[in-house]
Amino acid sequence: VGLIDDGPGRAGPRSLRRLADRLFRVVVDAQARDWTAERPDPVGFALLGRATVEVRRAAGRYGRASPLRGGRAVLLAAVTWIAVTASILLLVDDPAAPLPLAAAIVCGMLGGQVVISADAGLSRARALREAAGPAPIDDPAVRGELIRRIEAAAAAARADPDERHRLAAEDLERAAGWVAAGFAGGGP
Amino acid sequence: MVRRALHAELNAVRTLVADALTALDGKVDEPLLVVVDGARDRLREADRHLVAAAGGISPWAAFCLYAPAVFAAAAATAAGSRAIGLPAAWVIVTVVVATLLVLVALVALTGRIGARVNSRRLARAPGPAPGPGRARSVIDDGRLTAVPEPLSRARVRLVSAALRQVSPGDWRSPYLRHLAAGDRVIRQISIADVLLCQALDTLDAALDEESRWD
Repeated sequence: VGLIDDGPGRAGPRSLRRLADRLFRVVVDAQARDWTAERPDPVGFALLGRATVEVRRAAGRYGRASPLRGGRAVLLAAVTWIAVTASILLLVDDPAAPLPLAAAIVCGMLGGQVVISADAGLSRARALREAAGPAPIDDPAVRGELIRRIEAAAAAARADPDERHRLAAEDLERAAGWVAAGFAGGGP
Repeated sequence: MVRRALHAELNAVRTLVADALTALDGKVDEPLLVVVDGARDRLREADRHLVAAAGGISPWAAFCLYAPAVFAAAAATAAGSRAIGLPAAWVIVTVVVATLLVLVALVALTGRIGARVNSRRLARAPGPAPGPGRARSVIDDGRLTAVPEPLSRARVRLVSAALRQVSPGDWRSPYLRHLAAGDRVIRQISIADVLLCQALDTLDAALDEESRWD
């Protein structure tokens, strides 16, 4: 969003990675439902998995993913690390002495690790409580939305002056095909 | 499921995948080549994810590895920069930079250690797969005759291994979805499962196509 997002009306690595993440969530949802035999269908998510790979490949043609990924929990862990280390250093008499400084840094690291573990525990608890709603792979609106977004990105890629980016259009065309085939009631 | 049991199951699935690869060995005619090659690639990739599913290093184990290293590096850098007479603020800046560099190196190192640990865990020779003997080739005279039977068995076995990682009371799709998206073990099993399903699906489709030629 804002400064670090893709320009309006353009395909780009960030919007494409978001699209791939969206597809990925549909894939694991359908897979989990297949595992529990709630909605046995190993073919649908296999096809959507191919679409996810194609969209990721298209995103890769625009540039590498940022090494700083991980979202909210990682950010919060980093902030905790800095806060814990800084407050210990403010309390000790000589913050530049080797042992207190090293101890403060390791305590901050521990704080960050606790935050990450707590976040993992919370999202686990949330997933345990969550009710199983309708499967997105059965939802024609999701199918339509995904195909529309992929095709818009493909159109933007096709019009791109950069030749490498134009190659992404082919990946996205294939991805749209797999999405069309993978959703329930789809078919080649 | 106990960890050792998981490793045994993963090895059993790997044997089945290897059997399926042997069954797919052989020369196929041109129109089928793409399909069979694609299926073989998927099986090889699935095998890599099955190895990764052995779990690697847990976050807290990694922390126990990092903490002493970071402590030693930070203390040494602080002592060194004080010895050359840097003012207190610069000592802290130097130490922070050194810590971050050490941490980047450690993360790369744990990745490699994790890979080593995984291949060690799955190194024990997997016993012969139960069921009817070694794989029969499914390629006859350049044509595909069937979907390799070990492949479907591998998929079933993999899913049951994944489910046994979770207590039966929690076999609900939102929780499994959460694990498939983020758990160290189940994430890799999930990727391998998608690849196996893709291989099964393409081979099925190719057989359909073939039956239409006659």
